[in-house]
Amino acid sequence: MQLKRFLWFFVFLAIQVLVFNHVQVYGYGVPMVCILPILLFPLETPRWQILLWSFAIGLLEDIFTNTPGMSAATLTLIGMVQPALLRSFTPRDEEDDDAGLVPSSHTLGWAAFVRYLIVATLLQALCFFTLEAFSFFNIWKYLINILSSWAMTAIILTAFESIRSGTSRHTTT
Amino acid sequence: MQTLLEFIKKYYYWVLFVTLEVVSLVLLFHYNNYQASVWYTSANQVAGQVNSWYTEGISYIHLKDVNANLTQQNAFLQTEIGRLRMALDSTKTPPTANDLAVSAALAGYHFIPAKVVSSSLHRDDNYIVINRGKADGITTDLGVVGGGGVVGIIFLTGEHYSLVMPTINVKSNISCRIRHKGYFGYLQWAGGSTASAYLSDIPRYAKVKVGDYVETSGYSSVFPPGIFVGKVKGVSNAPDGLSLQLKVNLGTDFGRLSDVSVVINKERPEIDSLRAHFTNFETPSN
Repeated sequence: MQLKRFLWFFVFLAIQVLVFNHVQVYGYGVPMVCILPILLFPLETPRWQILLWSFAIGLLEDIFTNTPGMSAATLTLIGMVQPALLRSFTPRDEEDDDAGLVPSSHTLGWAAFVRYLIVATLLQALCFFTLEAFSFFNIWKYLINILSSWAMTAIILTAFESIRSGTSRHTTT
Repeated sequence: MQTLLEFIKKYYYWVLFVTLEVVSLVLLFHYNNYQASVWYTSANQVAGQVNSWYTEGISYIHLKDVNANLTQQNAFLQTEIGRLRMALDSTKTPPTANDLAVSAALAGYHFIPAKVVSSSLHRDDNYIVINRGKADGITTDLGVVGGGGVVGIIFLTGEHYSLVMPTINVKSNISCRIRHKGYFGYLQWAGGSTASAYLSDIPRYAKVKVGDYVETSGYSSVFPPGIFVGKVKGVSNAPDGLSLQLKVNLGTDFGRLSDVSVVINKERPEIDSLRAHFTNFETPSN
């Protein structure tokens, strides 16, 4: 399980570095997909584990984008709020045996899962571009960056999930 | 004591969280303020290697060898043109001691070809990574030129890769002049479009037209004088009202940059030591 997670982190990091870092819509916003493996931590995962993973992946992303500390700080924050956020989107009847809840469109339901993604990616975009604003601030660029980055990330992650749930349904039936 | 231990046990993750955030922010602000270690930028070995594989794949489509030769040739020709133009000017009017000094300085430059392995365009702090480093004789504060003219200045160097601060970085500041008119100012970038930047500090009485050429001034030892930077696109008053601000269409297309040359000035140490004498009187700039 740990090894599988490790591999997924690298797959997402590679996708981020080799594909999405080169996606720039009119020079604004980039999809930041490295957040997904963090959002998929099951509820019972020890919190120190989530935090260290989040920090590590953020730092690696930073190394490739020359933004030391920015992604690391953002993803550490995401790792911190992930359990609470996930719990708030868990349906009531699941809560009794939520110990092993693995977040996905199956367990949460599509609507709740997409809302979960939207809130998490908004938080990520807000945090990331606020940190960037410390070195250079332009209110319009700041807002456009947040909006475009948020929208693209949320759409791409939803697409990922629909592929993932589609294939897992195939294998189970 | 018991309760304290219980407390720590229950909230240890807060301690961890705060520690990690502090580490991140230290990295962030340290990097923003100082010339930081090259280790945690994409000029390090591993990231450089990954990026150069990526670029190899991409530039194969772009006929990289033909491009490399053309860029190299272009850089040579540009300095040659600069030298000839100056020679031409000196035949019209008797050369001043300064002109002679400039043309002597031009002979001291040579070029190291390099390849861009990664670059960013959409940030305010844009950087370019090239595949030449300390091992190739690259040091910080050397000029980088491409087929379209000035690209930027070396910011950090690793063993085999270097980080370039391009003209499209809000911290970039390059001394430029208007060709044939002699007015000079500083080229700065205000974020947004990578196609244009601003030339500030041009005196208000200067007669500058749209379409005039902007070139390096050569006042710093980073670039030889006369390297093309861009064309004037618009003339407006600077916010302070004391000088003109020119919008400059940059000659370099940063979105498609793949082959560049690093400018090395053989007489650089001499100029630097001279400048060191004067740092008390004026702030040096690039």
